[in-house]
Amino acid sequence: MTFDLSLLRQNLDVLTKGAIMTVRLTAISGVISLVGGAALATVRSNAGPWLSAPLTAYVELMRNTPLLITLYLIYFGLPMIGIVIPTVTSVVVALVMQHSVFIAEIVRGGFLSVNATQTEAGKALGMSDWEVFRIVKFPQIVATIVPPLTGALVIIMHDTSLAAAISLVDLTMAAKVISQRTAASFEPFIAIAVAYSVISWSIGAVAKHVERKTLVAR
Amino acid sequence: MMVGIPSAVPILFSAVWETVKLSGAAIAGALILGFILAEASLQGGRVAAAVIQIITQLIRGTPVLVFVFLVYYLLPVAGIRLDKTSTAIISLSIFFSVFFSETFRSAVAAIPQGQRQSGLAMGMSRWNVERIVVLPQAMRIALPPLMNLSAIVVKSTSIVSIIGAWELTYATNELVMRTMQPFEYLLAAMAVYFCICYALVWLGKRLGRRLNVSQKDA
Amino acid sequence: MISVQKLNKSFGALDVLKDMSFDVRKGTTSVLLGRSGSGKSTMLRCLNLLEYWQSGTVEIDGKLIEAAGDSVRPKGWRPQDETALRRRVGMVFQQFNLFPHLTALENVLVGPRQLLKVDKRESQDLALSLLADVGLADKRDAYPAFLSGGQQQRVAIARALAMRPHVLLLDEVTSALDPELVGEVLDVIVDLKARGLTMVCVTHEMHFAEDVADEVIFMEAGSVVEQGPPAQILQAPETAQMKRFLSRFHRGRAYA
Repeated sequence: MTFDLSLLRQNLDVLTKGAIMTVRLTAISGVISLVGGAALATVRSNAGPWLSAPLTAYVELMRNTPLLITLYLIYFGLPMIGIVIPTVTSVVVALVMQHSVFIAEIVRGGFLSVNATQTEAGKALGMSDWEVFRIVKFPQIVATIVPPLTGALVIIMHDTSLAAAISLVDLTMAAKVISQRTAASFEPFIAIAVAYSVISWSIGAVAKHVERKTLVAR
Repeated sequence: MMVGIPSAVPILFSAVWETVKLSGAAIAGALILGFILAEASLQGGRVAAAVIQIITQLIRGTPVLVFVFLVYYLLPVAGIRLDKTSTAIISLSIFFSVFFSETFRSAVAAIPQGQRQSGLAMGMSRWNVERIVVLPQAMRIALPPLMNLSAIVVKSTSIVSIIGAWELTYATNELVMRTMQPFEYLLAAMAVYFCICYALVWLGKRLGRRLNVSQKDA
Repeated sequence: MISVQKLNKSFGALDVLKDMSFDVRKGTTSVLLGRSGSGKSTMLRCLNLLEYWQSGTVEIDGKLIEAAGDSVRPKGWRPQDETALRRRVGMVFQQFNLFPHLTALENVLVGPRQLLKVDKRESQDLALSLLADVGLADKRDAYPAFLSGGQQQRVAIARALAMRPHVLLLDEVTSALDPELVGEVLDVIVDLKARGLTMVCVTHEMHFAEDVADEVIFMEAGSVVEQGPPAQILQAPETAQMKRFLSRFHRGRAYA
């Protein structure tokens, strides 16, 4: 297994590049999916029938088709209609398209977690609608959605591995490259599996910290 | 719509069939293996349960693609030479077995202790209680989530195209490269996946509703 | 202080309030008494515009509210007018409805600090003195989940009082409490009476009305059936409905 470690040292350049790309993709996609998902959830909860139907169609489409197909559509399809974007952007777009749907579900759960009676209590005190949202609803929604959002972020991170399908150098592609370069076939993949676990764990640790600060006992 | 290559249609049909077979085999494998893991975890004592828990966490911390690559490169090292499709089936079966196992375990946990106690009070052996009282009810509870998981497995089969296994996504990708017509073929593939997954999820919901009703009557 | 005139409200085909009329004099406590489903809570919620109604008027704290329909804001009332009214008319709920993400003190502070924009020092002093008045000064940093029902309800009362309301509405405020906790809330309400606060309470419990009311307004099926001071109406009921309602309480069951 020492063979393993020297191998890693020799290929540290591509591994580092891959790790940075994975973190980058996860962070950017995570943030945009969060915004997109929150927007989607808000729009859907206030949407009339004309808007509801196409949104539901989109949601069901994303839930029932592989991310890889969506990625290929973006990567191969957009240039065909004249939209040329960097490879990284294609991956981000595909990830956001898919995951904003999942995050919208989580946010919707957050909306539902606030009792209607809470709104009433706020209004009875003389709060305007905006004040009810700011003071009563928003803190409770945040407390509810932090744990599942963490899970969603970890899944986003896993899905960034699909970047390897279009040869973008993330952790998975890095492992593929190393395994093709050297005699070690599977060792790089064990290494990146560990790397993915480490990143998951870090996300979890940060999340627990945030959870403790926003926890609402009910 | 399939401009340019009339011969594409039989290829696609063949590819869809291949995906169905691949999914079916992977789901079957995951079901069997998952069931074994669940039983081992529930009946096998604390050590077995702990080991299985560790394995579950390790696998869940890894992206599907990375796991598939790992198995793909690991099998030859262990002296097993298989074609890509079989490798795909094995890797997906193992990967998803831990998810199926979790589903079985929560289903069993959802059955109130009173059920087991009635069985024992009737004079059933512990094995009979499992077989006659617990398992049939657990299967009913597990069915909808199992159907959802199956849909996820179907979506994941697209990922094995990356190691070169031939199925719908691989075939579609090839056609896209050859004809430079991404939209037609990718959207068609999307539609196929959508139909399969949506049907599985819908079936799960239907069965879930029907089985729940009969549980209430019982 | 409050004058309700011929108020009618229906939910679709169901008539909930029929020609409701009653007055509440300043500094007194009126109790809307009746069975579940008599419409008393709905009537109360009309007083701070948490409900709208079809016809009739409410005059409260000098403001006149004329109906414009069941789901429509009253004539001439804008959202900010409603908000302004609710800042002068406080409400306490059956289920307390404290904000779970805020401590007891923070719950009481919300009104003065965030809504009335009173400065930090003054609102802190006010909140602390109100918590002391309801006997919970030592629980200021506790979250609602860690308070008993009676304690939560007292915080809820302090929260409503922090807005310095001219009228306080209390909706079944002891109904969700275990019997041994009712006393502590009752004490607070009696204290508020002594201080001259105008209050309207809703309850289905005769004993609550007895302890607290200057005027009892007995409701059944959306209308006032009988009304008068508690001594009169509860000892010497005139109508058959009132007698029937009271008989439930006299069937030898002791009330804690």
